[in-house]
Amino acid sequence: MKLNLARRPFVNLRPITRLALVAWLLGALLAAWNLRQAWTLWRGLGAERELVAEAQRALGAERERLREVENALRGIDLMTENAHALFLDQEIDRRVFSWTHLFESLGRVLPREVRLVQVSPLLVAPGQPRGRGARKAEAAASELWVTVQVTGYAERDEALLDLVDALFAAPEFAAPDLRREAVPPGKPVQFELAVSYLPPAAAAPPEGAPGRAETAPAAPPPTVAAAIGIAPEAAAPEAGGAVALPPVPRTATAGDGEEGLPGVAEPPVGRREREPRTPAPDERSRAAAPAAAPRVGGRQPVLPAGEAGIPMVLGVPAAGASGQDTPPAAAPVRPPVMRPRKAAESVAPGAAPVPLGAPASATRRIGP
Amino acid sequence: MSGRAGLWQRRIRVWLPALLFLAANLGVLAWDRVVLAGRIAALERRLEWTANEREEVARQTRELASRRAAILRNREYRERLYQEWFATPEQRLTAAIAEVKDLAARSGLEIRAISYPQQSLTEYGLVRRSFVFGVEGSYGALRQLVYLLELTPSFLTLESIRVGEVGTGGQLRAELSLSTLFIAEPEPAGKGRS
Repeated sequence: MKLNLARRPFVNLRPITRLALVAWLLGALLAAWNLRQAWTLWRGLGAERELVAEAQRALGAERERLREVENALRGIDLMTENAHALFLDQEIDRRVFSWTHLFESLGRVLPREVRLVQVSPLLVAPGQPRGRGARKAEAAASELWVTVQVTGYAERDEALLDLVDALFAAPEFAAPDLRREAVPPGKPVQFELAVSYLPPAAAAPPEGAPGRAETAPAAPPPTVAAAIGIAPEAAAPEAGGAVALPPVPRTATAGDGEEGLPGVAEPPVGRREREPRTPAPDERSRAAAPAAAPRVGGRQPVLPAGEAGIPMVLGVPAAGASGQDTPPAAAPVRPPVMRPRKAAESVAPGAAPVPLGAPASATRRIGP
Repeated sequence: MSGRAGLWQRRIRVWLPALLFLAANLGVLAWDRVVLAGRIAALERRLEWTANEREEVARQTRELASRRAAILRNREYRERLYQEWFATPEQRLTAAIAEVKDLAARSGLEIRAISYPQQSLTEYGLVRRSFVFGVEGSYGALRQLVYLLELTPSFLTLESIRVGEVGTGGQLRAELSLSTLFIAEPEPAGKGRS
């Protein structure tokens, strides 16, 4: 038997004490953690607010700059600028167009029985040539195609068709369009056709051309196109993006070539037959002389008086045509190096920015 | 109310404050985690949006500024082109005519007649002056003239060639159309008035 001499009964308070101690301890740790965390977060919050405020100030300043630039641009008539630049680009393109290359290219495709009377290039906006020859343009979509209008005579129908076939086949020509063909009695076939022509990229004179070795490149003129260009569709009045040059008023000159040219200034056939032109005495003597180039393997086309045509395959004059098959050595003349340098740039809202030093031959648009 | 429960109730002053203190700190921790961190995340999102917006506005500004610069540069080029290459008829017309004749002569071609049709390009402040002339000569001379026209640094554009006839000795008669541009001169308003 055990004797209990305690005045109060035994109560175990240790669990309560331990729980309280643990709770106080955990609470203190959490309080410390919270204080640290709160300090960090408040500081971070302040810093973020400052950053946001600073970014908003910068945004406001940027918007102000944008407004200024927009106001400056608002005072500029972009359509007029574009039209002006397009016009000048076309003029420069026409200026740098190489007739020599055109002659040589035509000379390669011209059958012997065909003579050309008139050649007129019309610049076409960069892009695809029109018509069936568009496949040829796929590799050179950005090149400047030129529509060449040609009138001439062919001794035989087949020769004319040979010419059209050759134009289809030649890589530098595309989409030949035989527009007119007439066979006056007793006369050769008169024809008029248009063909897309891709001039060589270089504006320099052809290799071996007279004067080439002696020349030095001239300083290029300022090209408007260097800074901006035009979207053809923005100003081209014609469909398909083709831009025909404004016609230059032509005044009849002392030449008599106006007569009988199909589609150009040709009088009606009946009229020509009723009123045959009387050649001047000197013309008669020239017509009577054996001036035309004798064609190898073919007879000379019988051309109307005064409309003999170019008596050679262009670029490859028939023997004896002129006694001067190649141009004489040229005096040292500085060749113009006026390339149309059009760089692509769009000012259309939302358009991606294009660096100013964009590649040549691409049109540049400044417009809405 | 005896036993263990009564004991905890009697000692409530010992354990309850400790538990309340712990619970309060847990609450603060949760508030930190949820509310403050959320605010910071929102601020960060706003900061990012502002930065993106600023970048976009800056891009637009650069783009418009470059366009404006291009236009101004273009105007400068155009002015140079006008002044240095087109010039006014007074400054360049006779020189152009003389050059055309000179090139024809150097090519061995004889100009029979020449006319100067003019087209006003009012919207561009220009005048297109054409030189339409017939020449007589050989084919080679004609090619030579074409070549010299291509080489000349003057702004002379060969518009078209039209061959008229074959004369004696392989002589061609051709009609050439050249053109050049001049700055349109203002109408002399005061001229001729007393």
